[in-house]
Amino acid sequence: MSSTYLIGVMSSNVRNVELVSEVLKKEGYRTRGVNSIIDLDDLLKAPERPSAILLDLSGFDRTIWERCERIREAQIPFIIISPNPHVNVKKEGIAQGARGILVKPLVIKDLIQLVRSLLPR
Amino acid sequence: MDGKMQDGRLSTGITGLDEVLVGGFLPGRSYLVRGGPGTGKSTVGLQFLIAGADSGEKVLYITLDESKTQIIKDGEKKQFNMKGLSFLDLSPTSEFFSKMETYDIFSPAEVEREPITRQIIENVEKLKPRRVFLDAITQFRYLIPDAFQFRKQVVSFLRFLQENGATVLLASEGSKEAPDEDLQFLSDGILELKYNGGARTLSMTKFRGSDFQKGDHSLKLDSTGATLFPKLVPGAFRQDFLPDTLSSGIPELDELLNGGLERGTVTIITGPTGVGKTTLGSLFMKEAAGRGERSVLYTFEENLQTLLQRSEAINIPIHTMIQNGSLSVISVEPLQYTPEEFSRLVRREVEVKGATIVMIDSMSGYKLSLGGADIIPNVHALSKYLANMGVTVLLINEVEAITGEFKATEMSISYLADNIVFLRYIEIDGELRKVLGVLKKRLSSFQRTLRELEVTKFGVKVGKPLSGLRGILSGKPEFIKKTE
Repeated sequence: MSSTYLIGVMSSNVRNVELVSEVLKKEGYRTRGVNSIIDLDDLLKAPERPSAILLDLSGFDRTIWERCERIREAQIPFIIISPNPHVNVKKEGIAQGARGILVKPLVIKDLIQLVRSLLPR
Repeated sequence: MDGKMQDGRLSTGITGLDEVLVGGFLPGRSYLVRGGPGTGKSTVGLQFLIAGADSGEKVLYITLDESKTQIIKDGEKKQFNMKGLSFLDLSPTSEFFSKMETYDIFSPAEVEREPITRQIIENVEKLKPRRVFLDAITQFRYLIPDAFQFRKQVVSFLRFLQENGATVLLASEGSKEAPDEDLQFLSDGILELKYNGGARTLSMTKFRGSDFQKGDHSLKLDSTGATLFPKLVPGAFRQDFLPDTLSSGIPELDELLNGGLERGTVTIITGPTGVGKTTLGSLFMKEAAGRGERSVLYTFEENLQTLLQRSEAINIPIHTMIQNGSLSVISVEPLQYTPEEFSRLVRREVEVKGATIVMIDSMSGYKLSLGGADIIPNVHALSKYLANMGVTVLLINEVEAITGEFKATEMSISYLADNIVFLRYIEIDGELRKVLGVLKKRLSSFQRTLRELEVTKFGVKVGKPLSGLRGILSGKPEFIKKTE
């Protein structure tokens, strides 16, 4: 059952976190929203590890790539959400092990499908 | 005001607009109210709802821009009864800005559409309103960027409202950012509002299933709301009247006019300043008063007091005429009315108060005061209307030139006139004298001679035909020398 899955949602914009969480909750997922790198570190250390993570890059500097590596090491699938379709972001993202790169604004249907594909059946 | 009109039409709540729509809106239809900022869209919508609410109908105001509090405040300032109105306020709260409610992860279309749609459906199903005003439908375009989907959504939205028994007014900015061409096809009628500098107009460009009065009607927005002054359509009015002749009371003048002025004709009295045009027109009014008829004099230039004193000084009992109701003198201030508004005033005098002579003093004053660039069509329509109603029209026209080459008018309005009476200054032996003649008379013959006019404290005196003079129209006549 998908309802058991916990999804981590990270964005510096509080409203973005709220909106994505609402969408995912409607699909039956549980979510945990984080707004900073420190919060993300806490999420990774928490006893219940998320089954997938959505990372909105806006507002973060290059240290975010370091965290991506950590997420990959923890074997948590993640998606990068980018404010622009820049080719470097794509390259770096894939190199860091992202399972997909989405460019804002997202289409809700596509997001749900991608999240579903990240999770074990 | 009664919300329901004949054949089930709905009153628009705006004086004059029901007349343009030959009774009002057809129920169960949707109408587009188009116009730029400040043209009066929201006022038109609001008055439409209030007309319904006042007659006990349920009405719903859906606002996407202005807040409910603001609308109520503005409405109460105009003395509207806002109590019977229901609101669905979808305008953004201040928190949207202050609490960082902005987002960029999804497009607004994805996020906002669903809750807005849901709220509208819930409200309409709960209230079942008879009248709905949506301000502004073009906002939806931001939520549904795809043109095909937008059209489909709007059609389905309107159908939903109509199935719930509502007549709908949709405000539309019709700007480049939010075009509304497709909405114009979808709606059953279009009210086009314009504001070009001085004047606001409303014109109906489409009205499915009904006739309507075409043209740019004058819309007035003031502290009491919107009022529409429909363009005068003379053909729509006709009244039977006796084709008698109105005497001036001066036998010599009547002789010149072959008995006088026919009822229901338009007469231009033309001449330079101070020659006695107004006085001449007043003679017909004095006679009419004697017969118990009522006249109206619209004065655009002259001070009321001056006019009264001047008339009394030449034995026209204007005070008595005003007191016994046979004359009404109305002084029109510059830019006080639009031509349509003025026409409505005149109509009231004729249709309600039964005036049979209308004098406009003067044409240049009319032009300046009503601020219309093309006054000729307006004067034409007004004169035609009055003539159809059996009212005798006197148009006072001032020509600039005191003497010199003769010109009937300088405003190309001669064609309007059934009769043209002209007054001139002439110089005879170094003395300035006044003459009077008739240039045109459509319904009868007239004397082609000129007569001298004298205005004295005993009244107006018209002399015998001037003979033995030539070149009178040039202003410098000469005596024809008798050949021995």
